[in-house]
Amino acid sequence: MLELKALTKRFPVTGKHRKQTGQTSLTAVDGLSLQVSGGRIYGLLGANGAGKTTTLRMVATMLTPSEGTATVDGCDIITRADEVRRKTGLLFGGDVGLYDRLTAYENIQYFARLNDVPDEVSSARIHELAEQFRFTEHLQKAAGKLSKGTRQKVSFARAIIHDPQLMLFDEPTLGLDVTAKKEAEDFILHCRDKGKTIVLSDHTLSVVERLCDRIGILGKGKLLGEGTIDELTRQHECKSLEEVFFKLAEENAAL
Amino acid sequence: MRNAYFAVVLKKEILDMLRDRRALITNLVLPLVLYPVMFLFMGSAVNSLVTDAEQNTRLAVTAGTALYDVLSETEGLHIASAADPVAELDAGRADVALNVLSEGDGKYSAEIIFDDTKSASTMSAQYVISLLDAYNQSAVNEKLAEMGISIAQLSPVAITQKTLNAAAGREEASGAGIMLSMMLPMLVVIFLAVGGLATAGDLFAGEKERRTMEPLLCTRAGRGSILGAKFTAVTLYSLLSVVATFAGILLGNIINPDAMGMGIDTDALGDFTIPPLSLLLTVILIAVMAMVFSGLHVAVSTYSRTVKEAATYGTFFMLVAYIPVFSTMFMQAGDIKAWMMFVPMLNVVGAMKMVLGGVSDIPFFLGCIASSLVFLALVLALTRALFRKESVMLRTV
Ligand SMILES: Nc1ncnc2c1ncn2[C@@H]1O[C@H](COP(=O)(O)OP(=O)(O)OP(=O)(O)O)[C@@H](O)[C@H]1O
Ligand SMILES: [Mg+2]
Repeated sequence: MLELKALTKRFPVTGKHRKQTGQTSLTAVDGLSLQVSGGRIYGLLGANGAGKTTTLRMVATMLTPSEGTATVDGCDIITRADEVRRKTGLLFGGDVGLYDRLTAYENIQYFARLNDVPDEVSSARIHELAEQFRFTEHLQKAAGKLSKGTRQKVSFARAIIHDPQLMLFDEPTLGLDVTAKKEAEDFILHCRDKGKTIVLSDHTLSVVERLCDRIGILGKGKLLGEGTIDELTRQHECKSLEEVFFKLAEENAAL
Repeated sequence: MRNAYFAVVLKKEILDMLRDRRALITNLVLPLVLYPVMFLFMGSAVNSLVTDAEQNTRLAVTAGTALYDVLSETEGLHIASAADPVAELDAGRADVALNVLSEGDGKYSAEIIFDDTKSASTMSAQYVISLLDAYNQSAVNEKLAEMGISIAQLSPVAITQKTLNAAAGREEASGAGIMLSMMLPMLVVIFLAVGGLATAGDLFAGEKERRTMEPLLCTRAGRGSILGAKFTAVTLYSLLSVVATFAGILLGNIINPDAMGMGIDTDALGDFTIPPLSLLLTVILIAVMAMVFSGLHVAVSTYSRTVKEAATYGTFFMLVAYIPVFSTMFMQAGDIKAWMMFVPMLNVVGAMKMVLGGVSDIPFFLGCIASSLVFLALVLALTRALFRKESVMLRTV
């Protein structure tokens, strides 16, 4: 269970930009409140710069909120950050960072150790995840020698090696080919079926449509609309999620 | 718990570094190979020029002169008579030419011609001059003996030299050769300043650039353990490169003991012992300075977006560190001033020169260590602050 309570993040604006605009701060996330329960996938949909990544970073305790807070299974992200970290896995899509000189196995094991998973436990889990993602034969290869798709799979395994209750996926299928994309999506669904709480941020409508139970449309850090696809289309009298997205974006721009 | 994370990060960083062949070669293998080769070359270059002159000088002397007969008795000298010695030199068949202008009645007038663009020719000319000087000297002695005068009678002032320590009845300060006290502090500081640069760049800016920093910061290992372990890894690496430098120089000394003694009585090196306490304090000082510079490189690398940016800023600090080193290159142990203990890097140079010069000024060493610890505290505070700053840590976005 994840709950955001008026979560807000302001970044200081400095230098040239500050002189030009006179702004002293930029509100990347603006009073965001929402709830996601276990066994559900919540989709955060938003254009570039809408504040998706910033939201996930705050939940993952990498950034401190300027105002408001969030709780993961009742643990506050500010006051009980360590427990939140234990319960949370964050995965970024795109060009995945791994330690190129370490093997795939060592990469995952490193993060297991940093999350207090004993080696006996992690060893079994790494093989299990490798089996599931079909990269067992690559486990002992240096990460630098792996293909992009395999790297992404390794980083999936790395993000969830400590079996977190809350999984945050930031554009998880970015840059993957069709097969790899399908595998990644299947895996996310598999996690949902195991009762995990999942937040998926993306600006690809089709991914969000296929996977998410509920969708929150984000614009300039604010939640513009929320609900299932049915609810959203009905509420805004649109035929598709795409239409809802553009309609809300337009309304927001006019504000 | 914190210690457990610290150990995990440190272990991983060491493993990662050990697999970085390029860095290993430049930082560890290179000093171990380069210095011995350099020593071999340096020693043999100087030695060979001198022995070359004694063994290989090809001298062309005006044919049919008495001076030719005098010099032809010299062992090892390749002497040739020629109608025109200068032509021989010009043609490269001789290293030096002796053109006899006139001779008679046991008196000679001659000119030495050499090619000042060739060191072999210059050295040969000097060698021939020294041969002629020796001949002159023995001729003078002979004449004086004939006249019943001793050479001492002709020199009213007799001089002997003594060092202050000898005059005061103190034990002679026996130092390592000038070369060693010039080169060693310089090399140590260079490696102190540069040793952590690449590693720090890789471990901080590199991790940001490769996008592994964010997942790392999301783990349960707090920022303190991560920073601490990484800083330790950088320090270890830079110390290791200093050790490799020492080892390389030692190896060079074993291979060619004359290189560092150059011009100095190498036997004196045999008596040269470093007082254990001074040595210990100097080692501590070097270790603390390695930490200061590692910290500086870590701070720079934490601030930087990319490895390249970190390398650029880091190089700047490195060059600044070289200023005190090069400006004191020719100083000897006795020239070291007390205020130098407060200048980073200069204190290392000063302490090392003292140790190598056989001076053990314990308060100076302690002062150096104390001031270095203050710098260390400052650098670490700066690094810690940077590492906790969101705008710095996520500067890639
Ligand atoms: N560390 C930071 N310092 C300053 N401004 C930031 C920082 N991180 C993000 N921002 C700004 O906050 C806003 C939201 O950024 P964010 O990365 O959360 O958007 P996003 O929805 O993830 O976009 P994208 O689809 O491009 O990933 C942007 O305007 C961005 O420039
Ligand atoms: Mg983003």
